[in-house]
Amino acid sequence: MYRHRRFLTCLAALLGCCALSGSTPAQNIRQAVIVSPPRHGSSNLFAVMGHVRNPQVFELATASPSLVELVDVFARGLTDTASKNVRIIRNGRSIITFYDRNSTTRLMPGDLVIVDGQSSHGTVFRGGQSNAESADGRVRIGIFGVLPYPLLTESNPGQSVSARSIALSLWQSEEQAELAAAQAEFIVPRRFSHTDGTTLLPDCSVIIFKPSTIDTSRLPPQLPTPVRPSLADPLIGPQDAATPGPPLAGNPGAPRPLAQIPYARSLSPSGTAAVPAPTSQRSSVTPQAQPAPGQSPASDQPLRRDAEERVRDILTSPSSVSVESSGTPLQADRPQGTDDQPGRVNLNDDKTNGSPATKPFQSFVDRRTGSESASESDPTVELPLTPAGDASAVPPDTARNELQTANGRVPRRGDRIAADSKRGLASNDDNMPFPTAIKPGAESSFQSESVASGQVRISDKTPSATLSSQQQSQVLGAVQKGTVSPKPTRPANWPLISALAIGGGVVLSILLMMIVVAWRKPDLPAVADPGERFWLERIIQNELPIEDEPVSLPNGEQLFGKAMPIVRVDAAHSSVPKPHFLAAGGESGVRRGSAPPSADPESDESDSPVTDTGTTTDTRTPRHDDRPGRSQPMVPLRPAAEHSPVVEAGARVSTGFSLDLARMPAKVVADRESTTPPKASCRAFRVDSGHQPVSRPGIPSRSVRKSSDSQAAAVEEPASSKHETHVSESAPRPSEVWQDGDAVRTGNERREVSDAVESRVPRPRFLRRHSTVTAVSQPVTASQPATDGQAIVHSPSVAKEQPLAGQEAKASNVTNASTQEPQPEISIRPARSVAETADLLDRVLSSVDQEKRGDQ
Amino acid sequence: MTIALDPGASRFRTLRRVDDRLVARSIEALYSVLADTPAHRRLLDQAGIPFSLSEGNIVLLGKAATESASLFRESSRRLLPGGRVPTTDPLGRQLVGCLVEAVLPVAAAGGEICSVALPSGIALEASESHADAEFYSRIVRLQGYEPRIVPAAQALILAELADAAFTGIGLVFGASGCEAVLAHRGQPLCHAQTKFGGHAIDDQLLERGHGQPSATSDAATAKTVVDEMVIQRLREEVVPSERSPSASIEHAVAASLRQTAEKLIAAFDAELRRTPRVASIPQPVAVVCSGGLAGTPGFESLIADVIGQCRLPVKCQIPRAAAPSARSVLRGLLISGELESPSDSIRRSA
Repeated sequence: MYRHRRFLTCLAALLGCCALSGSTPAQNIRQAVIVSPPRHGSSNLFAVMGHVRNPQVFELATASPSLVELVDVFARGLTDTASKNVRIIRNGRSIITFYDRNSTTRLMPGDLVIVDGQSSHGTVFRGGQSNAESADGRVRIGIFGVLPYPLLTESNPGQSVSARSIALSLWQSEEQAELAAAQAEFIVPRRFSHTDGTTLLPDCSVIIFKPSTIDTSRLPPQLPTPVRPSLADPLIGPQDAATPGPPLAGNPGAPRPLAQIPYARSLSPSGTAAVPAPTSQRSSVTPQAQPAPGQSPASDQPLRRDAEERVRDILTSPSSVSVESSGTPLQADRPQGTDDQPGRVNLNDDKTNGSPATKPFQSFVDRRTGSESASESDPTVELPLTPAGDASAVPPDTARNELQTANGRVPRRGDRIAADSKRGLASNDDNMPFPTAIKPGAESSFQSESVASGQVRISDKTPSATLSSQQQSQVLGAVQKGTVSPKPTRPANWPLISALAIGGGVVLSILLMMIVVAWRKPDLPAVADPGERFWLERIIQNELPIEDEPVSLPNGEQLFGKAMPIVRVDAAHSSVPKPHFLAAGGESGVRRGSAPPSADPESDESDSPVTDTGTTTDTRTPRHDDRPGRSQPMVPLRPAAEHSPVVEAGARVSTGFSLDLARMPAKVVADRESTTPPKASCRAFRVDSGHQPVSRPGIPSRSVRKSSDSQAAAVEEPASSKHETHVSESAPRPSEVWQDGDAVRTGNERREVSDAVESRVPRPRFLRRHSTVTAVSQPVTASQPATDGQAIVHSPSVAKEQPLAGQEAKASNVTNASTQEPQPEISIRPARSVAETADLLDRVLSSVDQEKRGDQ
Repeated sequence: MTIALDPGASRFRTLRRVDDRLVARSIEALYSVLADTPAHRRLLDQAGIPFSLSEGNIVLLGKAATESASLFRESSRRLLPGGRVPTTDPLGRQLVGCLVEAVLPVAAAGGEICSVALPSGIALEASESHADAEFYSRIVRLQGYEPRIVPAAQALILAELADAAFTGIGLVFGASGCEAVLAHRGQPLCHAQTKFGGHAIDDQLLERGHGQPSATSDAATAKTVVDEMVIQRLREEVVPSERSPSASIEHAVAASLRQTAEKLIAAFDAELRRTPRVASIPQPVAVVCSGGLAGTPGFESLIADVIGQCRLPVKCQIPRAAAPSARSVLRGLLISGELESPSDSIRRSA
């Protein structure tokens, strides 16, 4: 839901922007992405100037015409004074090429083709010092930066021009002209080097004004517009005067005669402007292309047909001809001038201060319009050249000037119509300053020209072009000469297609981005309303209850690898309470004293870490990461046998064990000595016969067992040790014996059996015949099994040095396996009572203590 | 679903949210090894104790290891000695994986975040810590989660210092080590840790002879005993007596705790002085403690005393212990994971 909302928000924002701008989303996106320079019309503008017959700015249907096509077809070829050097001005840079009929050079929109002329012989050109005229004495200049398309000027023979004079002819003020000339850039023929604003320009030069230095509000309104070549273009050549053409109809895109312009009307004394009548010059433009009557050899028919196709293909381009409704004759985009250079701007600086006379900008229409008032030899009409700074000379069309924006935009038709309506002028096309249609008043003369030149009629229903015979012959002549290079196929409008493709791609990419943005996961959790983060806040505040879930451990899972070996030796009890009948006051035994209270609820008293005796062993629990030979800290262990129910019953023999006081911390030793009863500190063993289990006859004795292989048996026999390896498994087991009090030091695989006591409790009276107590050394070997009914009492020294008085003592052959010392004598006597045995043991123990104290 | 995993040296814990409650799993990080005999198997089957089989051994995990250790006279072993994943014990590594899988349920959907706190005392910059982090990350990924390693102290701050805008000092006294983090608005600015924790205290006390482990040889049990002694000592404020074993133990434990705190605070002080951004934090900062050692009564005053003696470059409030200590780090991990997870799960109200 959240993603949907984001997507809808983005979409609504986009649509809102579109609604505000009054365009579709696609248009908006395209406008935002595609930034193209301002172009005129379809932007396929190509200018050709210099020594060509028809220097003009053409607006073609194709975006990449060939150089030969532009020069030969639309510019009507080179003049006699032209050279083969051609320069193409593209993006402010000059590209020098060579003109050839077989040239495949293609042009790009905005190109200005300059055909250089032959230099006048005998004239010394010094760069920037003299005005280099052409052979015909005219200076042809291309001007950039004034309008979106270049302006072409041509001076009269013998006239010189400079950037300043050109700026003045554009009705700029003195200061503005100076500034524009100073900041202008020049592209001059190669033989000229330096040019500045005041230097007379050589022929075929290009001035690039900075748009900011040109006050477009002061530009003369009669600036020429690009020409759409049509069937009535000079390409067709002289029209057949005898062939009446269809009447001219109004064409919004066609130039207007100057008579329709208020200024021109004021200029014209008669108040009417008429298209000049066709002159004889016009019929002699391409005399070679005009076939002689009756000259149509059969061999030329295929070529002629091919040429017809090629010319038709060129001329029937949708942008090059005006298509009218069915039955309505077409009209030319612009009337044909009588001059061989129609549409060209002539400079006349007759009225400039001190500079050579330069004619003002004058289009072919002006020239044609002026043909009525001017002489036949000079068909051009001179526009009033406004002196710089002369406000009175400024056309009174202030309202129109007001419409011109500060950025130099040329006012459009709608703007001018609005201005005219504001000034009370007729807001129709007739008042438009741009020549858009031919008035009926001029129709007669122009129609006669059209009739004379013939007409091509193209209907929207029948796109094929119909050429008159004269036109066809002219075109064929041009084709045969190679001046026409028809395109085999209609050229695609690649800029438009590419723009559409790019726009479509951009639109699609933006849509995809919107979708991705709307649907992708945010990087951080969005801060939603508090209710959505309710439970997270409860976790932070620790308000959610925590439940413990049981963990199911793996059962029966097979793991790999062996466990790290550890050495664990159980220690013996440090002390065992005395029997109740031996304790003072009739107590059942000596409780272990000041053991700290256990904090572990599961641990009983026996788990208390400290015993009353304070005794400890020098054994420790080796860790699995121990290494042999490394000194390890001593860790005391508690005997594992304490948990045995047998042990709890007290039926065992307890003994003290040796202490390694040197390895004990001093503090621990002090504590132990202060709290340990002296009697129980060492060798305070006894036999509690009342709880000693009775072994069955015939069961082999197993004094010491290896407990690692039978842990379950350890439950019943708690005194078993895992690593006591001296096992007498094979020996017969005469009785059930216990071994306790073993202290094994296993620090570095070193073990020592200190002492052990095997005691045997007399059997019940109904089973007892006699019993003995045998004192043996540890360990008990299998070769000397204890006899049934005998008690083995350990006391090597006592047995050796202090034989029991009044008792039969029989020396035993039992040897100490570890020390290989002679075994003490073992006295076998009849079984005694418990009291006698206890007294005996007390005496033995006291003697042992005395002996040991004596040794220390 | 976001889940928090705390593979501590003493216990493995997880916490996740299920509907309107938090579900926790916990298991002791212990195991024991028995001989693979029919008698053992029969006993274990009769007792219903789950076990795993190794090469000639029966392996008991978690609570079964502690309970059966006394039964079979086998000592249980620490699964993470020193808080580290054993590198030379393949069986131990497998058992760590088994425990993690036991406490970490399989993710219901892919891409869910599992915040993991490594045991304290492991420096994230060390290579072995990277190995441990990678080890846990692999297991977590196998369970279907996306692991996020978060310091335990930072998680503690997220869980306990919400009122202070998640700004303050978090101290975690774990079993394998201790950790301290200064965070500003939940982002850690300074981090320090030591390898002296509860286990080290246990070992130290055992070496001094103050405590004897039970037949299970369980250091954790010994630690509990020791901690209880400390509880008693701190509660009664008895002056340690050399003649009294209990007082001696209390004194020893108190000294060990103080030593632990001093080591951590000293390391943290050094880190704070190397961090110039500390001065820009609004002071005094809140201090919160957690971990097994922090549950000792009177531990707050001990930390306050140590902090006061160390004179940290930042002014601190009176330390307080997180309650309950065992779940604070887990809750912080859960919060951290939720803050980093996609918002879908967060927006679902409880």
